[in-house]
Amino acid sequence: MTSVVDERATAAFELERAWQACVTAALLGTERQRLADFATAPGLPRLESDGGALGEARRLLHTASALALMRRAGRIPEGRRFPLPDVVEADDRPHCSPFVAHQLNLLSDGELEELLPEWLTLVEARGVRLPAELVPRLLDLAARGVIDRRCALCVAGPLGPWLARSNPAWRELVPRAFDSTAFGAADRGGRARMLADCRAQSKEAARERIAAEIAAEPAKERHRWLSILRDGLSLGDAPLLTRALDDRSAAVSALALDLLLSIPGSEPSRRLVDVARRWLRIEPIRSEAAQRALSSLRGALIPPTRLVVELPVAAPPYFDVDRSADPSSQSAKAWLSFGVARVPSEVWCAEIGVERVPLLEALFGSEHESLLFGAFVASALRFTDVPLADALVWTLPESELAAHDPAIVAMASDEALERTALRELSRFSGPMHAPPLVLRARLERRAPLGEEIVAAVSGPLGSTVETIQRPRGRELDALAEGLALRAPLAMLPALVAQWSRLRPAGNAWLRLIDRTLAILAFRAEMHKEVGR
Amino acid sequence: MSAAEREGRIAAGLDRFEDQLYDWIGHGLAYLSRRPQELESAAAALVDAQAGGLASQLRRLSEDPRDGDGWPARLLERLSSLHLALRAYRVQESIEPSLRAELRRMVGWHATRASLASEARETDRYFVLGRALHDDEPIRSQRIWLCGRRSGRYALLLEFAYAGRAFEWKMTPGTLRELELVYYPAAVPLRAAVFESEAATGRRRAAPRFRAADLSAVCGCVDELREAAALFAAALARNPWIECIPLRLQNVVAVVVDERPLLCDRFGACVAVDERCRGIWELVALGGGGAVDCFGEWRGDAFWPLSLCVDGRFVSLSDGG
Repeated sequence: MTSVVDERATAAFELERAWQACVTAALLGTERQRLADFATAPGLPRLESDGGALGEARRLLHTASALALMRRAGRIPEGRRFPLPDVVEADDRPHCSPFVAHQLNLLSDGELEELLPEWLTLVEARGVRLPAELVPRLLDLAARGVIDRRCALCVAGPLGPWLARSNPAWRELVPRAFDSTAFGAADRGGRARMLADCRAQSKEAARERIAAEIAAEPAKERHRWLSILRDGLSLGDAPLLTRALDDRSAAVSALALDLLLSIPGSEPSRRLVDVARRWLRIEPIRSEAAQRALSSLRGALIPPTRLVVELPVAAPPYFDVDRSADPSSQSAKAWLSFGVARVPSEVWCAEIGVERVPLLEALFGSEHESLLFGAFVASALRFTDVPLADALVWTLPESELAAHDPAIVAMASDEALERTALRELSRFSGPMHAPPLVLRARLERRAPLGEEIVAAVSGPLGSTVETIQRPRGRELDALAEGLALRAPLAMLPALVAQWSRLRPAGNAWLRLIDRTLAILAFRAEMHKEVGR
Repeated sequence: MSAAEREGRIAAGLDRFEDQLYDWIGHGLAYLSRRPQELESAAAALVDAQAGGLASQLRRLSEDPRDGDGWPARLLERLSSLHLALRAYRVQESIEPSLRAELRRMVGWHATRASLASEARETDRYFVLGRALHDDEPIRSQRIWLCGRRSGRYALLLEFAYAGRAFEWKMTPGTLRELELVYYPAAVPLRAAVFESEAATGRRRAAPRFRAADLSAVCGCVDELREAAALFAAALARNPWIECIPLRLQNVVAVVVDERPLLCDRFGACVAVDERCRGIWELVALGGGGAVDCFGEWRGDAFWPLSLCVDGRFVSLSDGG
């Protein structure tokens, strides 16, 4: 005896078969494909065609109308064939106020997205919990790089990683444990990406993984894998790199050497330093021309010192094997440049007995001024030497700073940029059309500005607005915005008062003034509300 | 133009459109998919024939993507539904009056305020349960779903705005509004017009917010998805063109499996979340893997969530106003 279930299954099968026949005939066209005879709506009389193409199309649409309706009405929810996820663990933090939650909407919807990092830092410090419905927005912003990933996950609480694991767009936000099975199954690009991720999380784990498997890889991959070590290079990487010096690929061994020369204290670095440390020294004598040049730059009298260079008489160690050097240029100057660029600045400080700024100042007027500045820039970048970058930013004139690698300015500390910007601003007179490079670089950073620099900028900026008809370019917009975004909290009321009182020389400034005031007002409100 | 003249014009327009339909099916949907302009020009001809309702349905068809596996079936389903409407319109006198009224509105006869004046009015405090926006340049539409506090009846306010104009009705989900509604005559009466509101009577004040708990006593829920499907089937039996019904699903879990958002009941069934819903991740986050009560539109093959109640809170989802 046929059960009711069987009958229903058969009817559903027949209905689906008839519908598919309709779709096929409709797709091809009834002029080419006649509707199959079995394609009828169950329970309804079969429609006859008059045999012509028109009649066939009519019959198909009649049948399809009934079948489509039956399918819609008879559609049942699908069965679940997967386990439900674990419920996210409880979040015990107190809820933030509705206004703080509203601020996230305002900031991410409007034109004040730049305030989000500060808002997030405040919320994190306050230790409050956002409404769950806003966590996806937070993860989106973190995935776009608008806000800090770690900070976003901290504010999101346990819901953050739980959600991020479900959405491919957010998966990268969550630190993942190294998956050996996935690593084994991944293609070469995937394996390199996994190693880079692993390096970002644990230098040691990535190094061990590379050391264990690099020998079986082709030369191109061995090169790629060693390059991953550049992120967070340390003395711990030296043994692996030393082994790679004997690699059968010249490119791989050259890379290993280059990396070893970037690790202070490694054997190659020590060998090179031993040779190069005697090349430079400072003497308390300086030519008049050098003193004049330095005095005009600084506006003050500089103690007369000069850098004495003892040019190398032979190529320093590794000059001929390091691929970044130019082996055809077998000159003392090329050897000097090569060596100085590979000596950490603390060696010079210890050897010569001066700090970095006097060392660099002693370069002015030297025969090798340009070459050595270039080498010191290269050294700062090679060793990620922030004190040397700070000294270079302070010492080099702005025009030369721009000509060298801009990464030096990016590497310098906030304090060095502010200090240098203050010096540059003190030399300013009249309207400020183009803010100094160091000031622009400082304003691009999220860290709050010091009170001194804010005071030094806001005065000239205000007088520019009041004396010049219209701004040239967008640099002053960026300056005003940066000032409003980074000024310390205590200065906000004074800045609001100053910008409210401004009488612009032209209407072109109105938007700038409105936006600056909007940022200042929002920041003040934000600190008040989140801190409440 | 008199009503009789318009009737004649519509009938002639529908005849021409029916021929066009047969022509498309004769040539094949593959042919039609390469000529979307034919759908556009047929829609324009329907507008000329004063059958604007069918014209906008046809326009929506021309915007439907033609990629993936399912488009021929989707296109055939919509064309056959239009065909059914054409045929039904011809024999409208034999159709039950409420369905006939709905069919005529679908074709393009608008129910005027005066024509609704004779209908029964319902005064109630309405929960604003959800708001769905649809941007169909240059026309935007909003669907506001209400539920009467006393009657427990659902009502839909459907509004269109042209070329960037603001909507007349600004109702925030989560608030209670005192309104006098008139339901459009329909086999499944859902669409309503506001006849009088606080604003008209000068009693307007900030709309109070309701508590999630207030809803449970009034607006009925289903906690089994099969039951929801049965309710939709019953609605379809009364109106074969109905697109969705409002529904509160109770104790459902929102998950994303293989990038496919789903709502699962505790009986092992699931329904897809409508892909047009932009608040999917909010829904998943609010649930956090636990059960939620969710209000939205049941559309047969998918559910479009608009708001939900979780931890005693009523939350409106993005895109749901």
